[in-house]
Amino acid sequence: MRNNKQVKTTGLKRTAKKLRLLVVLAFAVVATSVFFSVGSSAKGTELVEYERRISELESKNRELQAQIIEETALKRISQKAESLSLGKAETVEYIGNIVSETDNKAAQYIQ
Amino acid sequence: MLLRLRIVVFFFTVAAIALLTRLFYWQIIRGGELSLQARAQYLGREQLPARRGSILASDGSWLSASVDAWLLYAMIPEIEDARRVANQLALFLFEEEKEEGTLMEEAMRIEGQLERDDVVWVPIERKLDGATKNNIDALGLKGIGFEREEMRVYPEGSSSAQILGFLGKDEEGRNRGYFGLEGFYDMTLEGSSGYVEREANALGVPLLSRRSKRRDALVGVDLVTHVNRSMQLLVEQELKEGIERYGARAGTAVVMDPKNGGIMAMASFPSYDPAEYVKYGDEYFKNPVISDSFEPGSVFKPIVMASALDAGAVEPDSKCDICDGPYKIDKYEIKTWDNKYYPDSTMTEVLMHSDNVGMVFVGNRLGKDKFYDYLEKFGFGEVTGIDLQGEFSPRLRDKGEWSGVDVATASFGQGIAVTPIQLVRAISVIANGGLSMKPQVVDKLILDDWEEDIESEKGERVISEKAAKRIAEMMVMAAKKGEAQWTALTGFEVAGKTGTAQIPVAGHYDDEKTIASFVGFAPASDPRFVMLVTLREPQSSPWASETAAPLWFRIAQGIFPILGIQPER
Repeated sequence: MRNNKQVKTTGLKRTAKKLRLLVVLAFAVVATSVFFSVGSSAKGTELVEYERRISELESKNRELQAQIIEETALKRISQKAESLSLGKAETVEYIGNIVSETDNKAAQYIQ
Repeated sequence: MLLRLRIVVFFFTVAAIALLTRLFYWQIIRGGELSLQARAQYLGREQLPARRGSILASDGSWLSASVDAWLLYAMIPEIEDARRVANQLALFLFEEEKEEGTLMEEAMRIEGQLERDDVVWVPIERKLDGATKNNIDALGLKGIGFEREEMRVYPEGSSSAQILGFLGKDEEGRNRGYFGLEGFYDMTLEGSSGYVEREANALGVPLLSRRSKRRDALVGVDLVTHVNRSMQLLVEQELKEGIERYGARAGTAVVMDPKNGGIMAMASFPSYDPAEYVKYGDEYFKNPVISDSFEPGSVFKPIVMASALDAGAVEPDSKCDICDGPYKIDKYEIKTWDNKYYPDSTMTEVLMHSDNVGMVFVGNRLGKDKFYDYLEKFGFGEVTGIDLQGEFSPRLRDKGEWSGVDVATASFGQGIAVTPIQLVRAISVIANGGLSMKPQVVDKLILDDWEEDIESEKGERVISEKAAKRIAEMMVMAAKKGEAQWTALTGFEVAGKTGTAQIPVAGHYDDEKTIASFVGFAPASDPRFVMLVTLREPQSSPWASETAAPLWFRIAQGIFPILGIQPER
């Protein structure tokens, strides 16, 4: 009778120990999962921030390129040249020769 | 007691059945739909738009590019004081230079939009630039927002409009290139949009532990053309001034590199602004250089003479034995343009005097069949294959259908139709030692570090090198001592030929209406460019020697320094 009681107590202790282990394990699993979820969520926020910055920089880059396109157009340059009183060359000088525009009809070759 | 128990059992059974039925409805019948709705809540999908490629000149500068523009919109329920907002916006949106109404009218237009009660969201203005957007943004107006959109810009304005074409919309409202390069290379320029799909939390923050899909956008390829920007502007400016000076109705000019077929400049007037294409009618969009045909007149003579020289039908010093007066064929009498006749002219003199009777002599010596074969070899009767949308080729009369009169008139460029680009390609054969080159606008395709050269397409040998050299020498004499000699540039060896063609109207030729043209290349010994200039119905004089020829030499004078061509003596 006493032996039977002892066996029962030992069995209960073992079950309780297993249960505790199970709870600890479950807690560990949940804690790890929460830890990684929080971690990945923070990474997600970081990613969004990086994407926003990339988008901003790309937008700025496109804005600057649009400015370059506009400013380097020959149409714009010639307007600027005109405003600076720079005109088209009327005489083209070649090495050893000069070809000049004398009138509307033709250019004359001078040796 | 038993009855109560049965009622309870019955009640629970019915409830269980109802629950199962409902579950079946939600899970099985509407399961797919609800699953999609749920996915839409936690799965974010963002489009990654593909930027359209740019069109660049040979020096890498932009002829056409896509830039950011902004759509200004209003969320009407959030607008507190429509009049105040409208007045503030009008200050930035009113463009005085457009002269479309007044500032007050612009404010009233915006206010009208803001006071609409049939919509929640309303667009106020499209295609705003970054600076205007930033200025309006700084006002911090409630209910006013911006959406990014792509805008096609043509920094040189209407320059090269007919080469470039324009970017419009198709029936479904999508961007689509029309005419010119925008049309021909539409798919290459367009690229392909991408997307990113990933799970996100309620705040829209992506959950990295969950699945995600991404396909990057493939940006459009950039086109590097053979177009020389300085030359293009020079040609356009001179052509425009020439049209005004000679009172012509229209005009075209095209400059090609005979060695690789590269189109260095191409202009036509009237023209249009591709950025404002909606303001122009369809007739402006057609590129006359590739889509309009004309009877070439005397500029066709070097082609016929080159064919005869190559076939051995004539030599440069062969004498014309019918050149002492008008030539009769069937019921027709063929005369020279100035009614002057030069008996026993050599072939060089025939070309120099632009002698129609002399050319009939050449055509007769060549014969119908060979005449036709050479026209085909020079590329007449078929499109050149230039990489521009909208090319057309007039039909060549079939081989067996040529009569003696047809050969006689075609030998001096009448009764045959060609497009300017066909004529330029044919003259390039002479300039390129007898080899035909396909005209080509785009030189290479580039995308980031990738680059692909579009090799020049060499055609067949049309005439021998010897024949090409001989006809080039004859064209030099024609330019130097022909009817346009007064305008020739001394110091530079130019091979060229004038052409004054009457315009056929309702079955006869109108004496008053002509197409004046000049085609030539320089330097004659090592040609760097071939150029054709045509003027439609010049009023100051109908003759090419007094209109198209001086204009050709004016343009050539500007081209020499651009290409670094030195005087030869």
